[in-house]
Amino acid sequence: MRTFRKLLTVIILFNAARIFTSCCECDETPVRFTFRSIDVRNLDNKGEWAIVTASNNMAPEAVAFEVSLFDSTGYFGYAALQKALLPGFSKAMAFRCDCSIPFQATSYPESIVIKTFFAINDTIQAGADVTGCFVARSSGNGTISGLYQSVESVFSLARDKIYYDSGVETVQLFLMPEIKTDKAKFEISVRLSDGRILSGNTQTINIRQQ
Amino acid sequence: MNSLKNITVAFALAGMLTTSLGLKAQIGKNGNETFSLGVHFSGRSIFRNPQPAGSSIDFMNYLGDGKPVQTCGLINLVFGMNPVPGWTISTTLSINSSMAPGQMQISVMNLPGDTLQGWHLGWKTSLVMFPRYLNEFNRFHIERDSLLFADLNHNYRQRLLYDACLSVMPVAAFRGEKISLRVAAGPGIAVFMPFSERIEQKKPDGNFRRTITYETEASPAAVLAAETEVYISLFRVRHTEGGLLLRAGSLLSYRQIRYRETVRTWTAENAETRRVSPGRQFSSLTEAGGGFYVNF
Repeated sequence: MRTFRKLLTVIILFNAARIFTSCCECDETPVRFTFRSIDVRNLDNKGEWAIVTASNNMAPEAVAFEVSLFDSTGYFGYAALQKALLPGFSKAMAFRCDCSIPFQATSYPESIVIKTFFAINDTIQAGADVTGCFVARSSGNGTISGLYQSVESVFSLARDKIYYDSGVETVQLFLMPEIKTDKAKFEISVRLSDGRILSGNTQTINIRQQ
Repeated sequence: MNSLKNITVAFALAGMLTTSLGLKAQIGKNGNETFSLGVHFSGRSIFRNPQPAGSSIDFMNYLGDGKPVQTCGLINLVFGMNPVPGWTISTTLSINSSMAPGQMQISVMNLPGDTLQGWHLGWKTSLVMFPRYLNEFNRFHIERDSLLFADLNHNYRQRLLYDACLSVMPVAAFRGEKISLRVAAGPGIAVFMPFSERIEQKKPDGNFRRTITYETEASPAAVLAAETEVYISLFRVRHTEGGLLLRAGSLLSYRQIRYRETVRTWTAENAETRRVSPGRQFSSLTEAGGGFYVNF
């Protein structure tokens, strides 16, 4: 019996040691970064879910874009650089203790202005501010699944936001009114809380009239 | 999920009730307490009168497999006891083909003088709760909203809908040398446990999205309940008696499932809510079966 107890004690201590060493204290101190770049990509929203596409053709009721704000030295930038310079296997990166690195922007997007280069219909002419014609979705933010949010409410969620593993703020924008012309192009300007404005243009979209 | 929790709580309460009364019975002074165990197989048939699809969904049309008549088999385990003469408390747990005890019945019966032979009159209160499957209710939207992706949820849309019925019935009982008979019939009230469901839709080749949320109400309905039990004694050894048990019962009612429908288009803020009260459908549940019982 005594032998059994000793054996049990050793096994328990061994497993306890394993538990202690497997625990890891993650550094939760956010790494500060600054939004310096903006990237606008086309979304294919013909199907059930929106996906990024390189095509410049869109249906008149499915005009959608994805806007990304990031630090030019962020992971978003690294990924693009590695693809260009390093053939074969890309560099493997592991986080110590599997900790996600928290990122926090020094400034946050405060507002957005979207202007159209072309007329959308008879009432919305070229050069008009069409921000109110868009609704948005933000990846990673809680929302009623399946629905959009107003553009303002999506950006309000970015205030003091902690980004894990990538300091990229991504917002998907969806145009509500149907485009009655055959071309579309927009200028998207994001005003940051420090007063800077990041602007980007969409590609010229060919509207596939049905 | 809430309904499941309610069922669990009800089972726990039933267990506590029967356990505590059982303990009381065991320490009783008069020594007349009897317990009974039974197992029987029964066949159940549920009929409802389906209505044509209207502009709003009627969840009653999607109960079961959508056909007017559904049938199933059940294995029933019965535990009963008489803590004092004239009073009977019984619990029935029923297991369907999924082998889960999803149905229960708790009843309390007062039948003065039932230990004596002859006719007796009394009353019985019964609470029965059983699950019903609600299947593919999204077919309503697939047929109506053909210009949209009518349901972005591609899973098989099925949920358990619990139906609860509380009834109070006068009882007429006959106790003979070999055969005992109980007949009961009376009014009751039945409710469907509330639930909520959501349909998400999107326009093909378009950004348009909307969600439709249904939040149902209990929708109480008057019920006519009736049941018959026949006990045929086959053996008696000292204080133990055993034999065959035959049971039949029926619930008749006009049922509906009322709900609040909230349609949100584009954003959550752009919502419209309305209350929908579909017409009542005649519904009946009939069950009959037989098995064995032991009184001790």
